[in-house]
Formats: sequence, structure tokens, C-alpha cells
Amino acid sequence: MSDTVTGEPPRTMIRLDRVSKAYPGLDAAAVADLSLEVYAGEIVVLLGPSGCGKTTTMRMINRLIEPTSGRVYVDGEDVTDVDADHLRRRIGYVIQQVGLLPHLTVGANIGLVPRTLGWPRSRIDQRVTELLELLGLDPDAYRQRYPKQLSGGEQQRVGVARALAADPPVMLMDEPFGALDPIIRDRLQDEFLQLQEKIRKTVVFVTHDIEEAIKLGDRIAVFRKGGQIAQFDTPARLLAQPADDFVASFIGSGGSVRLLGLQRVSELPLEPVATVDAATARSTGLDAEPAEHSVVVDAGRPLYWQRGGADRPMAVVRSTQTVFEALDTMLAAHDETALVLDEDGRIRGCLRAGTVMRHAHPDEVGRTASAVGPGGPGEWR
Amino acid sequence: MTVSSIEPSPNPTVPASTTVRPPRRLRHLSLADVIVTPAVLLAVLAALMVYLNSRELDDIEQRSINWPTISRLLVEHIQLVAVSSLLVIAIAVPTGVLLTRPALRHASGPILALANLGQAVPSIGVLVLLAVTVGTGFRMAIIALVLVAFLSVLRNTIVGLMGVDRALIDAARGMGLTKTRVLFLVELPLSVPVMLAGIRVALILNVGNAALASYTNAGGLGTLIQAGIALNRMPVLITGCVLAAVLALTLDWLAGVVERVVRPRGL
Repeated sequence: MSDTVTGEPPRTMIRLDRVSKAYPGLDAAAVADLSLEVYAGEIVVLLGPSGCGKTTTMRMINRLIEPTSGRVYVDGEDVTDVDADHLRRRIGYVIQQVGLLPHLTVGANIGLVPRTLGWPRSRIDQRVTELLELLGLDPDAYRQRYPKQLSGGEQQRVGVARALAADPPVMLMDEPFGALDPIIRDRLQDEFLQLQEKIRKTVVFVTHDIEEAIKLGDRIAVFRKGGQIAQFDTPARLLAQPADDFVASFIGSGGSVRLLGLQRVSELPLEPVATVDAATARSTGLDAEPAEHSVVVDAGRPLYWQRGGADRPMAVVRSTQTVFEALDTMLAAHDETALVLDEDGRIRGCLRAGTVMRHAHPDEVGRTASAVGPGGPGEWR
Repeated sequence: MTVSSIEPSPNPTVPASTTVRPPRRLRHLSLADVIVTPAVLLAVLAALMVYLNSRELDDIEQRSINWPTISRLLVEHIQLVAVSSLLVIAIAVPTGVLLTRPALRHASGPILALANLGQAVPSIGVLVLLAVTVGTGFRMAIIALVLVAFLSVLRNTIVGLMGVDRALIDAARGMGLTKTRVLFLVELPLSVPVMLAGIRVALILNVGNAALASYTNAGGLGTLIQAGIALNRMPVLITGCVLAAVLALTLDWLAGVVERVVRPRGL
């Protein structure tokens, strides 16, 4: 992420070195001779069909599954043989079933690891308040509730808060949003990306959902059966250049169109727009020949394209939206030009469909494209 | 876990701190739960008193039906039940825990099958067999009672522990809780309801079987029943039976109250 942008060498946070897991009685290894590096602060998604060894690989990082051979390094330290319980307290763990203890309150659930680490009570209380606020749950309302009293989405928020309790540098997430309905899942994904902007954890995220992987991953490791990595790349390069037929078929069709979802409007060259005040436009009427892109504004607010008049529908997008969303808006307006506004609603220029055709190319999709800052997709829903 | 339940939680706008709750440990109890059974039991005892007072008791009957004798037998009976039940819990619960640990889990299936078989053996048979082979008296009766009631507690302990959601244990282990902490913080509290149901059954079994212990000279209310039969005295027999039944129902009621009080909240 920022590491590659600034040109600094990325710091490796998790390293799997030729790790294998074989179960007695089974011929094929669950994971075979797998090496993987995860840099500090990035989200690496382990993606693949069920039974491909992605969860096994993740669970070998916190040693819920002991590797048969190979070494596991976390933050430079060989953790293959250290005390597993102590290791796990330094690694956040979120699972699909959430796993909140039903007989403990939300506060007690979040405070479990800090309590295990022997934090004083006041510090635990303070941390629980902090985390509930961070996850968008009112501490006064939620602290004393029992998990049963929460919705599925709220439960998983508490699950994430619990994993963050002791501020671990690394988080392992095993299909954390898999059991939620699509709307809630989408919202939690957005929130998670916004959260990640703030906390910058090193995240290993397991999913079988390619869309989730593309949305969340800074890099995606596609697994094939037998616990081998078929391709380990950024979402953009995965969509543009699948390594082989397996990856291509797993990604599905429409890779080029889906790439547009990774590119921001602000990354494309925009064309200048002239503005005409509404009063001036009325006085001059339609006699004057309007400029190529000239928009009639009232107190800085765009009203309509001067050419075509008020009847012509206007496609308006924000520069932080994706090119995919911009094209969608243009299609809906039956217009090949979209007016682009910046975050404060000021006119920044206009985007033409032809520009998209010429410039939407995988090489132009930076690794930062998938990172969602303030003003990411969540804000425009 | 209730991942599938995504309906909005009740009263999301009401802060938990403002809701009025009864004192922490009594929340599960309703007034009816507490009062109905004791009232019925007291009525039964009153009826027994009325019955006994309505009759002229002869010498033989008076020898059995008098307060010092009855209270002594009652205490003996309660001792038999208390000691045997505590021993059952002390032995069966740890055994159940051991049999659900990964190293011994494969043994729990056969042992559960044995438990079901054990329940089918008539308790009078166990008592007599032990009396013949080991001897008579209080201690022997305790051994017999433990043997008969042991399996119901063991079975429920195993079933309760096995029934704990694996995802909860996985999450707890994944957070770095030690196996021991997972046992005491997750597994045991969550299997309390099932375990208590087993203990309740054991308690009732013990009250009933302790009435048989008088045949092996261990005392208890069975003495009255035995005397009533042997001497053909209806009031003595009825007194023994009613008192044993009332004791059983009282203990069952008490166990029910305890069950509701110690059941973890939030389940």
C-alpha cells in the first residue's frame, strides 16, 4: 500500500516458509509446500473453492493447526515452536460463526483477552468503550447486553472489536461476513475498509467470494485444490491477467468491466468545463454558440448543460467514485459525458466515455485503487 | 451461535442501564415457581396429619409413628441422599470432563452405552448384590446409591460438554485462552443446564433408592415402609410412603430452584 507508493521496501509481517499440512490417512496434503509473505498494514485475501486449504493455511498462522513441516514467522520472529496460547493473544481472530460467549455480556466478551493478559479493570473498561465507539456501537447501550440480544451484524461488529481488544498487529479473519445477508455484508465490508484506514492492521482474510476478495484485498492469493497458490497478485492484475485457466474460470467473465470498479474517476484525465451563471444564460438566450462543455450554474450548483438545455439529463459523479459507477450513471442518463464534482461539490471537470475506453487499463490501476479512505464507496450509498 | 438471527434487537433505543431488573440471581424465578410446589407438599403433610389423628393408633403403630422416631429416620434418609448425591457429583462430573477431552473422547461412546445399560439394572438388585458381597450398613448403602445414580450424572455431563458449540471453543482457543480456561469459562458454564438436569434425576433416584436401603440395615424412611408391610399396619406404611414421596418432591423442587438460579444468563 503506502509502502510501495512511497518506494520504501515493505516490511514483512507474516511469512510462511514452505509450510505443509498433511493429515494421517489422507494421501493428498491439505496444504503443500506453501510460501507466502504478508506485508505490514495490508489486507491479503486467501481465496479459493471450499476444501482448497485456505482456512488451513490461515489457521497455521496462529497455530490452531500445527504445520506438519515448514516455518511460520510473525513480525520477524519464528513462531513455529513458541507457546501457542501466548502467540494467539498477539493475533486477532474473527470467525464466521462469531463465537461470542453467550453467557457473557458484550463488554465481558470484548474484555476477554485483556483480562487474560492481566490488564487492570479500569483499563479494560476504557478499552471496551473505545472499541465499541470505533465499531459504531453506543457503549452505554451495548456494553451490558448479551450476544443473543444483538442482530447478526451487531454480533460480528462485537466479534471484530473483541479481536482488536489487545491491539494485535495481525488479524486473521475467516469468512467473517459470510453468514450475513448481502446488504448487511456490504455495509460491514465498507465499514471494515474505513476501519482499516484508521488502524492499519496486517490482515489475512479468508473467503470464497471473489467479489469480496476484490473489494477488500490489497493482494489476493488464489488457492487451487491441494493447498497450492495459483496466483498471488493485486485485484487489478488478477482481473486483467489471470495466471491460468483455473484462475480465469474462478474469477469469471467480465474482468475488464470489473476492473473499472477498482479505478477512481480522479485517476482519469478530465476535460475542462466552462461555467455560465444562470442569470447570464437567460439574458443571452440560446443565440450565443455555447462552448464544448459548458454548464449552467446557480450559486455554484450545476443546473444543466448549456448545450442541450434543461431537458438534457445530466450525469453527475464525484471524483472519489469508481469509474464503474461513473459509466453506470452515464448509461442511465443516456449521455456520453459526465460532470465530475470534487468532495465539496465543486466542479472539477467532465469525464467522457471515450476517455474511459482509452484509459481504463490495468497498468493505470494503482495498488491504492482498492483502498477506501474517507469518501469511499460507503459514503455515497 | 445465533448468526442467522438478524432481526433487530428489542428496544434498541433503551439504554440497558435504565431498564429495571429484579435482583441479579432471582431473575429466572417467578412467584408461582417458588410457591406452588411447597404449598401442595404442605397440604399433603397436613392431610397425613389429619388421617393419623383421625385414627386410634395401637401400641405397635405408636412405636413407629412418633416424632422422635420419624425425625431420626428422616435425618437418616436425608443423610443417605445427601452423601450419595454429593459423591455422585464429585465423581461423575470430573469423569465426564475427562471423557470429553480429546485424548479420551473415543472412550465416551462405549461408556455412554454402558451408562444406558446401567440405568436398566434394577436398583434393588444392586443393593442386595452389594449386601451379599460387601456387607450391610450405611456405607454399603452409599456405595449402592452412588453406583445407581452415577451414570445419569455422567451421561448428562458428557452430553452437555459435547453439546457446546465447537465454534465457541474455536473462537476462545483462537483468542489465546488456555485449554483449562476454555473448560471453566466456556464448556462447563454452557453445559450447566444439561448437567443439572442429570443431577436432578440422580437426586430423585437417590431418594427412592434410599427407601430400599433399610432392607440392608441402613435406616431411613424405608424402615417405616418395611415395618408397615411386615406388621401389616396401614398407617405406618402410609406414613413412610408419604414422607418419602414428599421428601423426593421437595428435593426436586429445590433442585429446580437451584437450576434456574445457577443457569448462566444470556442463554
